[in-house]
Amino acid sequence: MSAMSHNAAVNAAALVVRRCLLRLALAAAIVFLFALLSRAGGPQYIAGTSYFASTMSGQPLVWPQGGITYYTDQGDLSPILPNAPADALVADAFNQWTSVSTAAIAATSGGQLAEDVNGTNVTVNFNGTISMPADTQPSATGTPVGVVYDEDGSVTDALLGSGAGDSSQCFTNAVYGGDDNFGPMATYQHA
Amino acid sequence: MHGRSCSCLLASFVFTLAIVALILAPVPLAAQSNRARPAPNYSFPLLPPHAIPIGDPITEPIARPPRFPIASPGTIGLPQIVQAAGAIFSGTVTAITPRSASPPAGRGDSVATIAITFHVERAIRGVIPGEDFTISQWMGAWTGGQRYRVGDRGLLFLYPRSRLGLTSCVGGPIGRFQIDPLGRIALSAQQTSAFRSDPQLRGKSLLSFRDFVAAVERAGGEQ
Repeated sequence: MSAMSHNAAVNAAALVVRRCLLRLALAAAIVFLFALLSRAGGPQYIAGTSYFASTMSGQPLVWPQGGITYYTDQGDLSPILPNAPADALVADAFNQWTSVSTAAIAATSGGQLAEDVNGTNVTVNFNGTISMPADTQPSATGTPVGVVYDEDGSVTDALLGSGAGDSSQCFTNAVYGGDDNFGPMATYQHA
Repeated sequence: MHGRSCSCLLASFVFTLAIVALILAPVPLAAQSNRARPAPNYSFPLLPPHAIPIGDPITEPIARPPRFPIASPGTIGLPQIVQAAGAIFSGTVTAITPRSASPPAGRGDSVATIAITFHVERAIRGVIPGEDFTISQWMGAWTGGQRYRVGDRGLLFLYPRSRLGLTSCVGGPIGRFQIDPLGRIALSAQQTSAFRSDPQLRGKSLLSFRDFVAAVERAGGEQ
């Protein structure tokens, strides 16, 4: 009788341990599965193989030295946001992003672009090519980020299509642009 | 007895496997960024200035859909999209050609543009069914996300050509609809969100082409 109850107790203990192990294994397997499926934020771009230095392949693209120097238009953004308040708005916008606790980037105003970019200096040439101020072009790495204030929408109209600069299109066209020049060492050169 | 031994063995095996898996889990996690967004040929930038390889230029470097529906500031309805469009049609991209001719002397660098040719399938406005319709798009719009791949099929709302001869989708991604294999118009999460107040499209993510055209015609008063 005593031996039987001892065996029963051992069996019960073994069952508990087995169930515990199975649950632990199941929990671990679930953690592993979700670890495989989950995605972290990750970089926006990584260097490819055909343009970037071979040593940089697979590396995330970054701004050189973790710093962005931006230049703003000499014109006004709107009747209620002339040049100086517009500059303050842009500075504040940059500050919002660079102040994020995990942000590893700084943004500094480098001053102003060399001109007021507007409809008069975004033009089509006689040979069909299009010109606009050199310091706003992708090749203008000396002004890596150029912020254009399109007060009357004429620049937007010219670049995106007739009517795109209308106030009715502000829901999508209020801010646009993008990265347009990358260095072979996996760096942003212009945006 | 046999059953219990097997269970114990199985439990031990699974447990061991799980422990090993837990140890290795960070490895795939750490590598996911690269795996998620390979951009092997994103040599899009100005290699030498304006030499843009076009073999497979439309590799989308950001392959992730919006995590949440994007709510546009202000409201937008189909009428605004329809009214702003100079051309509305469904079609397939047949050719993509970057343009980077030199400007006249003294005019600095030219603005890079890209020509995109569509074979028009169904025309709603501004184009002819069956024609090959070529647009010129500012490269900045391309780098900003308005990209195409040869073979892409969709329904586009395009702004009228500007004085520079350029155009792009009305409202960017709002004016470009996917067409599913059954020929239905599929609204993205962003479009569904943007049109949430629109009486024609509210709450819909998939419409027949016919229903969509009817909605466009009602919105534009083109009946």
